Amino acid sequence: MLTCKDAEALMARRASGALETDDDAALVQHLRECGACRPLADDQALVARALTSRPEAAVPLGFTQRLSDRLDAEVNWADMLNWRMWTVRLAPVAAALMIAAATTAERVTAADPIDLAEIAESWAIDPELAELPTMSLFWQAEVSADSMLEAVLTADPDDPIAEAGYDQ
Amino acid sequence: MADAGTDVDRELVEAAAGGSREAFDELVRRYQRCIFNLARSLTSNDGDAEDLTQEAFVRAYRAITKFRGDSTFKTWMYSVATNVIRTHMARQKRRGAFWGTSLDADAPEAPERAVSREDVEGDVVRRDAIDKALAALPEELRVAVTLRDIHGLGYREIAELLAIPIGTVESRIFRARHRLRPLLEPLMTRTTSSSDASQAGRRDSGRPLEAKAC
Ligand SMILES: [Zn+2]
Repeated sequence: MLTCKDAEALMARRASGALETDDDAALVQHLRECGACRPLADDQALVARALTSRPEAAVPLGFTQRLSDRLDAEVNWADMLNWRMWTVRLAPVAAALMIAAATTAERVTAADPIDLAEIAESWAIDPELAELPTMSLFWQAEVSADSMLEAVLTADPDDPIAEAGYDQ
Repeated sequence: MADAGTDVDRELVEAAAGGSREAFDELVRRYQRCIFNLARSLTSNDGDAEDLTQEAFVRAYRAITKFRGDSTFKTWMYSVATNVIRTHMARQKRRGAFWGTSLDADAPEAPERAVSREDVEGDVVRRDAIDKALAALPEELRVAVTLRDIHGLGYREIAELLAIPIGTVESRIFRARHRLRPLLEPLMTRTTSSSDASQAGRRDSGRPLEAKAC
């Protein structure tokens, strides 16, 4: 026995004329016995009929031309994105750039040979500076905070002026 | 099952993917009416419908080489269009939420009492009444029932297109029609009674109800 919930799907299909014979027989049986579903089935058919009879709207005048114009623009964009087209159009530009680059490179090589050793030397660190400890870069004459702290913690109460309080 | 239209579509898609603009233009001519009506029935707005239809075709044009033929071009095109339209609707909804207006602020008033039975004789009024009723539905219900009842897509197609289980499609369509019932009262032509056990879909022609397909 079909439940009312099951019958809904069949009622929907039946109103569209899209119900298999077996299902149709089961639904007819259900509708004979179910007073609640019968009006629902009628409504399904009536609404389906009303919608099916909806008069079609005509496509607006000039629609085809307006769409055609948009599609023409699409074609142009497609051309813009076509790498083959750009290859052809830009070939002379690329050739000119290559000739210019070759000529410039030739002139630089002939007139100003670059001495790589000279550049390397200018970047090198002074050997004397390299020998100093890293902290010497921050060398200062004043007492550093660390040294002061150390001096306070390790100071001899009998000899308050401790040498340790000063950096070298 | 492939029909003649599907075969023609396949040839046109192959040609369009090969760079034939004429072939793509022909696909546009074949589907613009359906896609425009899809956008119109989901947004209830002619201006938005045109913009969204154009956007859908532009996206399809960009992606035509990626179409593998796993589905028909029609389903694929509906999928592209539905994504464009749903993105638009989500943006509208966010904008409404941000400015503190109602979620369906742009949606016209539902025609529960605004349209009389006499009013809906004319095609334009009838179409507007249906679109306004659809606008009163939550987006997920509106999309499912529109694709089924107005555009005639199959349940399986809709499930694939929306990436949801087929049972969810059935449930959404059932709930959508249930909520539309009072809103569409002026458009109803009662030819059945409950004792007929809902044979309305099959009675008139002996064939299932079919929406006007593309
Ligand atoms: Zn029941």
